[in-house]
Amino acid sequence: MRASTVDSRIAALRGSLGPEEPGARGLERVARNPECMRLRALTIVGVTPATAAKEIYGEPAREEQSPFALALGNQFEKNLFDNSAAKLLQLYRDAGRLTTNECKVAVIPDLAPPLSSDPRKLLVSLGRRQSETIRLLRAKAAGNKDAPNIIIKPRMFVRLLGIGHAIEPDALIAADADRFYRPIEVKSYPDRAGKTDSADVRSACRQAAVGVVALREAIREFGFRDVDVAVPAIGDLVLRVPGSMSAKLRSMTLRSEAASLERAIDEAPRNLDELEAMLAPGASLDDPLILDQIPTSYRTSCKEHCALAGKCKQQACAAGEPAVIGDMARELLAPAGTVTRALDLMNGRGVPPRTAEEVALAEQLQEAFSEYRRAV
Amino acid sequence: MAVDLETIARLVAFDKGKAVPIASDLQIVIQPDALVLCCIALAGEDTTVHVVACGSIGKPAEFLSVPDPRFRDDQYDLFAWIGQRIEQYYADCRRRGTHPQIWVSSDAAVKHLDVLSDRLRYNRERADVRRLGELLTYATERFPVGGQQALYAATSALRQHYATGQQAAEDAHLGTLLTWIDPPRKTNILAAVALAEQTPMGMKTDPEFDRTKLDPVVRAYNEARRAGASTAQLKRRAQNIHDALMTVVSPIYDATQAAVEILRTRWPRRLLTAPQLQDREAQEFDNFMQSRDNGFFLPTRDKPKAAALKLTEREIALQTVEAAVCIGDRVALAKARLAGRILEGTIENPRRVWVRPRVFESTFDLISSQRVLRIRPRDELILLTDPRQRVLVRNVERQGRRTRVQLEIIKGKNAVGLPSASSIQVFTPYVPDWNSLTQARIQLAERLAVQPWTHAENGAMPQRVPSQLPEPADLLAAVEALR
Repeated sequence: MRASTVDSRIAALRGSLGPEEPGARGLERVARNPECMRLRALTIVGVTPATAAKEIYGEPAREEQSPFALALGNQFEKNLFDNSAAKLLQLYRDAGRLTTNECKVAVIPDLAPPLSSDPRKLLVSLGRRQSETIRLLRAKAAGNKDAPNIIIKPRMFVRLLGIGHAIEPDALIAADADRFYRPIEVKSYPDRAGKTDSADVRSACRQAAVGVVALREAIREFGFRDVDVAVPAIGDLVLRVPGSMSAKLRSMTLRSEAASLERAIDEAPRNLDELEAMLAPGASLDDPLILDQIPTSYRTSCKEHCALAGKCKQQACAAGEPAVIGDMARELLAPAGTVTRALDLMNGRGVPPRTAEEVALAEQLQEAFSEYRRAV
Repeated sequence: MAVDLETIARLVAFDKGKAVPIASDLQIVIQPDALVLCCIALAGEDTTVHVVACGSIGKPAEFLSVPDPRFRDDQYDLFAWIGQRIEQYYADCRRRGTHPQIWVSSDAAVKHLDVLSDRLRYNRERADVRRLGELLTYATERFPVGGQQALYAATSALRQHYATGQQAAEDAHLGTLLTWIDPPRKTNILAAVALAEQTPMGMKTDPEFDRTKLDPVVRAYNEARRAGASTAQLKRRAQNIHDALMTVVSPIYDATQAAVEILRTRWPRRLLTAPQLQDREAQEFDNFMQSRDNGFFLPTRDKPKAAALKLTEREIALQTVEAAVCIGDRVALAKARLAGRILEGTIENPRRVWVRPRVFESTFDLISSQRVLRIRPRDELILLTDPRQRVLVRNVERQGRRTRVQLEIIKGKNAVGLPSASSIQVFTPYVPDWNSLTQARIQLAERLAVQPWTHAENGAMPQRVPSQLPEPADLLAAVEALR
């Protein structure tokens, strides 16, 4: 499949909306709910759920962060990366991951012209960031001892349908003896060991996993075969000590996160074909009626990451999907299909059970309902 | 996977457009003078409190805010203010020989208090701030323990009593829960819930509110402060911040009070074991305060022995409370029956067989129609209505839709006697044993007197010592017999 062909197919599906880079956050979002065709479709065509909510459905997107949280996050990151990432280097030295001699730091934004509002200059600047990143990655892959130990804000690509989507992990790290880099994800979440918010950790891990996938793609292009060995599914989370600007380092295994991302990326070509087959010729996703046709898979966790969660919930409620009362109900009531049908089976009304699965479900529902009525 | 009662209740609630009860008795003990505490942090700064509302249940709140909690002195003054109120409340509780109870809006607010207690109890700059951290530690350390009465999130307390027609995760928002419990008339429940969701009910403000309302006034205050504005000017700007924050904290305080009121007024039946729960909490509180009086230090992290003790304490507490709720609450009993955690059925073939002089064997069959049963031969069960009787499961035989369980009475043969034929009996694996925690603590203290090599620093694996016992002929049977 030629990229340009895919590009035109994607542009046609996007309609009047401009392309957006999904970024690491957008790519990891797909892996969170791989069953949601609507989310996959939007990611493939390069539209974020926030844009879809705002531009297609005309609803306010509630995805923004508080200015206080943003300021804190920026300050934390600046604190780590300032002075050639002195604090980040110290953190790795304290953890025994780098020696005092391993202090080579490359700050990619410093190697390229500053970002500009002029699109032409912006393109030049981003292109330079990309080429500098590739140069440094290539040096490390070639075993060059001068390759940096830490690369701040590298610009890498994850290929989706043959089209490279840019991602900028916070940093990459490798000791001189390491074969290649591993991603670092910096988050200003307070690190409370076992009490750290699991949703925050999950989200950071998935973003780091996007970095793993991008590194694997890069090293594959350099001619490496054993990419899984050179870039194991491991990432470093740098979180904040509660109530302070000090950082804590945690290495995380990202095997399942990286696997689910790679699976989602592998399935993308089939998704594009399915998407086109689903829609009428010439239909594009910028039409709310068309977007409504694409099936969703509303889940409890959707609110954590998707700006369309509210819209999908409304549709799930209108359709009486069992997911609206919980993920457990979604599984238990699957033979009934809808809440209305499940209620009919429970109350012994409506059309009698049509399948063996419905018969079994009806028996269970009636037994449990009679227990419930007896108890309350 | 069998359909559980929670799913049924949620289905019914969805159908009715109104929350439905999921308990028959009030599962918690509401202290008449409990403290409602609503703290709002600055976004991203989880160890801060920007505004606080504090008051007893059924009473109006006292409010205090700081213009910018990132200024440490102002923040510490606010902590000291909260500390005074909690200190006073704890002292009153101690005087009366009871325990304190703090109510917050949600689990997120509990987590916020936990962060604060972790952070403040090691404060070296102000003793009153450190004291607040220590006092909060009592409530936050008790929170994960089953049956605790020290710290309640209004959402969790309501969820113990009501099932809504939405996802369990959505019940974490107090506003939506209250809307499901008391839905507005002539309004679609889902629309009402969507509207309720717009109001923050945790410990943070809405990002949009921060951007449009809070950030401009905080910025204005900080600029005036940097420019050396007069006290009057600063006071006026601080008042603007306070007014903005009041629109966030007041609804949360009111909603938390509303939740307590619902539980207080609509649940007249108390759990049978409520007095035991209260006694245990009072004892735990007394122990904690005694430790503080004696100057014992609260560790950041538990050492292995303390951790083992706390884990055991949590396991036992959970088991005890589950058993206690099962005895008193009809819905909990129904849940256990449906999940197969208890055994219920009709008695058949009760017989007393002479074995030798003065020794009889009492056995009977129990015919259960439960779809799911989690019992195996050699399990020991206790008669729910009279815990003096214990039985041993001899055999479990599935007969079509019924299950025949052969049981042998091992305790209470005379005191309780054989059950009569055709009677319906319920057996449970656990009954609440309020002394088991003390026994477990003694046992663990003995077993952990010497730190195991797994937890010792540079602990080497001990040499293998082959057992001197003869090898059993049937290894599998020997392992089974250990159960």
